[in-house]
Amino acid sequence: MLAAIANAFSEKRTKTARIPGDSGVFLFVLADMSMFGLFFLSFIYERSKNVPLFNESRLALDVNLGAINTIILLTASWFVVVAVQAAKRGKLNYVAPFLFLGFVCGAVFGGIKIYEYADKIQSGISMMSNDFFMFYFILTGIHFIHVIAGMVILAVLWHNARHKRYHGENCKGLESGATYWHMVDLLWIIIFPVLYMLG
Amino acid sequence: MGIVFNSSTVVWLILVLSTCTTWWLSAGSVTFTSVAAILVIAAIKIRFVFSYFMEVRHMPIAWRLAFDGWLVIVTAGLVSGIWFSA
Repeated sequence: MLAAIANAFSEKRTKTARIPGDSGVFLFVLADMSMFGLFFLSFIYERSKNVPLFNESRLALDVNLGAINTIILLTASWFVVVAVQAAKRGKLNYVAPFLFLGFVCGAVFGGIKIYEYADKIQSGISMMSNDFFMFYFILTGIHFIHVIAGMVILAVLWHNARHKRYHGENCKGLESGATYWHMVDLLWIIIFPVLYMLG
Repeated sequence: MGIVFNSSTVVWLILVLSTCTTWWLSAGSVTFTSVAAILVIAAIKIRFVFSYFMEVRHMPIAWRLAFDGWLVIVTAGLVSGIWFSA
């Protein structure tokens, strides 16, 4: 098995280059990532004006919940990868269950995020409290909307997969939806350290 | 290789373990070095997601440059921002 894994990693780009999914979706993903990139750089610029305030404010956030949510989204992404690979290899019975598992992870992420928001609001913290929390609520709020959109996409993919609509010759829709979900995951990979650890 | 146990499983494990490393680093004192290390680990994780989950490694060179370019700009911007405000 180890040899097989090593072969997969050392796979040369001998195959013809291809776009795994719809090129329009990849363009949208790049545009969305660029918008978040500007948010991250704006955050770091504003932080440079008042480092003590940002450092103090981030202590109100729960790093453990942020880290758990990171692991949940990484796991969701992996489930979706397994679903796509199963469809490509004709193992159609695996596709829908793994998409469902990805959806469940998204729901758990959302539940933890709502708990965090409720905790902050109960502590009297809102986006008007200071610049740090303005960034916190806007960045995580926009990301949360992306998570919900991603869950809707996973639900549609799951419905189609249950009817065996994705297979070796028809994976474009599944790959495109998976690409969007991976973007949701990778954006959180940056949001987590930037907000919860830099502050 | 199986549907569940293959290279993507190893990548997922690497991503989870690196998240735990970041978690551990954040518990210590916050210095420029520790913060820069946390950001670089995040960038490496994203490169793994690009390559092995989004399959960007199979895409034409222009797409690969666009994704990698975004990652370099964001990481360099964040690390230099921390450096100048340290």
